[in-house]
Amino acid sequence: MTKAGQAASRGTSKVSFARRFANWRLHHRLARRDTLGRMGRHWVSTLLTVLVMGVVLSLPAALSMGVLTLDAALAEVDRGDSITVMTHDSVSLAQASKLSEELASLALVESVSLVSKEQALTELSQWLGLSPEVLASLGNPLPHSISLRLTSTQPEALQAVTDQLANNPFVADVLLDMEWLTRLQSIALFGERLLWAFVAIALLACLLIIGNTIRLAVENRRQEVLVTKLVGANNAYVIRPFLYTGFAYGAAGGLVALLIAYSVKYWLGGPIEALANSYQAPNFALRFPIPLALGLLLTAVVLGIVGAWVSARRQLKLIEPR
Amino acid sequence: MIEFDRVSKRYDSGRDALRELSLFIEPEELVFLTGHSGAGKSTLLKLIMIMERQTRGRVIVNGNDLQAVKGGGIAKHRQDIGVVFQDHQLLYDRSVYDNVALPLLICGFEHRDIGRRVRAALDKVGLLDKEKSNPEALSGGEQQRVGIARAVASRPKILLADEPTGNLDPALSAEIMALFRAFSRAGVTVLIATHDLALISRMQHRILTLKDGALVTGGGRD
Ligand SMILES: Nc1ncnc2c1ncn2[C@@H]1O[C@H](COP(=O)(O)OP(=O)(O)OP(=O)(O)O)[C@@H](O)[C@H]1O
Ligand SMILES: [Mg+2]
Repeated sequence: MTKAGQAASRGTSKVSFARRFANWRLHHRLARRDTLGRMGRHWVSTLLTVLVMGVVLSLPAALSMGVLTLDAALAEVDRGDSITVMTHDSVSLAQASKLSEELASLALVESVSLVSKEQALTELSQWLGLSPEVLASLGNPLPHSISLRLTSTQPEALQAVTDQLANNPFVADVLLDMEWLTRLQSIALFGERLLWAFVAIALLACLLIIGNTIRLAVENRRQEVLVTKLVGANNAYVIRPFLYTGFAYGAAGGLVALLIAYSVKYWLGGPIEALANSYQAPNFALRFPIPLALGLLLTAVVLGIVGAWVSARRQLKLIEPR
Repeated sequence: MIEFDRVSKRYDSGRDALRELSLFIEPEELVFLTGHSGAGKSTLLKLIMIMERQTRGRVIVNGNDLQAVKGGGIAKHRQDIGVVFQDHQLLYDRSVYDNVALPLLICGFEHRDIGRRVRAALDKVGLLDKEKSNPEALSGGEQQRVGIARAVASRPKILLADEPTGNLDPALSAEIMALFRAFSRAGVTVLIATHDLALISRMQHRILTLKDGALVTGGGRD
């Protein structure tokens, strides 16, 4: 056989790109078939691994549902009158109303409402159950007051407006109603941090699960891997079925997590709706948006592939002579 | 072409399997490798396959210094070599056909071509009727012949065989040897490790004799 004839018949060197691509696709198809076959044959352990992954991933999913819902609730909650400004006794109603107009023009202020000292007295008398005349005869100690509703409920925004008001000569006192807001925001922040902690833990757990599963798989197929390499397979070839295995575990685990998350949403949906109705907040509902679901699935798949790759590479290095 | 230049191999256990071994094998040459058990025959073949690395010296195969062959290059290098292992090294989770087809698949032969070559190789070792069997269901000699079929199916440039006739009766052994000889005539470098002195002494080919890892006869270019 001539050298040229040999090269052509052996098909390893000097083969067309199309041929190599077709071959590459064939190898992928075989790896997929091999992976599916194996997972089917060991369906119990496959199922268990998938369920464990699904459960682990469903924890951050459920928690993110809670955090998103809480965030939405915070935005939804009637902001009320976040700041109340009391004027000095000497300030006239005209001056107070001019001040309120000035305040209304501030960027952070959404709306203002002016309560004159007479209105305040009337309200107070109603509240006390006394006639306004009786109270008025005692002299009206109440100031004019301006209630501000802000465009933002961030504590920083409230503080900025408060500082600005404190320097105004007409203003006697500024009452902040931000305690509850701060508290609510702390809870939201806590929820968010908790979520990220859970996300980190779940990612790590999934990597470990996949890594260990693949490690065992490579170990079980050690002989096959060695022989395949001895007859000329490169690492990419022997790793390919394991990558598909990781992909399959990731995708299936992600789907299980979604199933759990949507079940939780459905299960909690009724009580939440009843709660929302009782607070007359019809938009308040559990949130688990589609992008989040897709993100979860994608993350699971990436985790599966990355975990499988790292683990298989490591294991191959171990069974190779250097 | 295979060249060893003062090659030594010491295993991690401290055992010197090869000592200062030099040899040269031409392309198209058929050479026998013999020696007592533990003389280092398998070790020598493993160095050519890069299953082990020499401790000292140089191994050159088809003009490539193997010390420089690494990573993906090892796979490429092995695709050019057909090997019959002393312990068969078949895969028992698939049929005889799939075992023989494995190297062809890896090398990237076309589908139709693979079928043709696998059957031709199985035919040469007399196992055409067993292509659907599992290797586990075959006798030791039959498994060995599956290993031979796998080694020759891709018509490699180099053929290494470690005790290929160890489990075969004399008639079959002679047939297999004739097969190897045909390969060397077709331009393949063939190196066969064997204990079967009676068989090889009749065959008029160069014989390398190893003793405790050192070459006793046959190393030169004649
Ligand atoms: N992986 C290994 N680790 C340590 N020592 C080894 C290893 N492989 C072989 N040896 C030693 O190296 C020496 C040569 O072994 P090798 O397998 O090359 O002999 P051989 O000539 O093929 O023998 P046989 O005819 O019995 O197959 C032996 O003494 C053996 O104990
Ligand atoms: Mg041996």
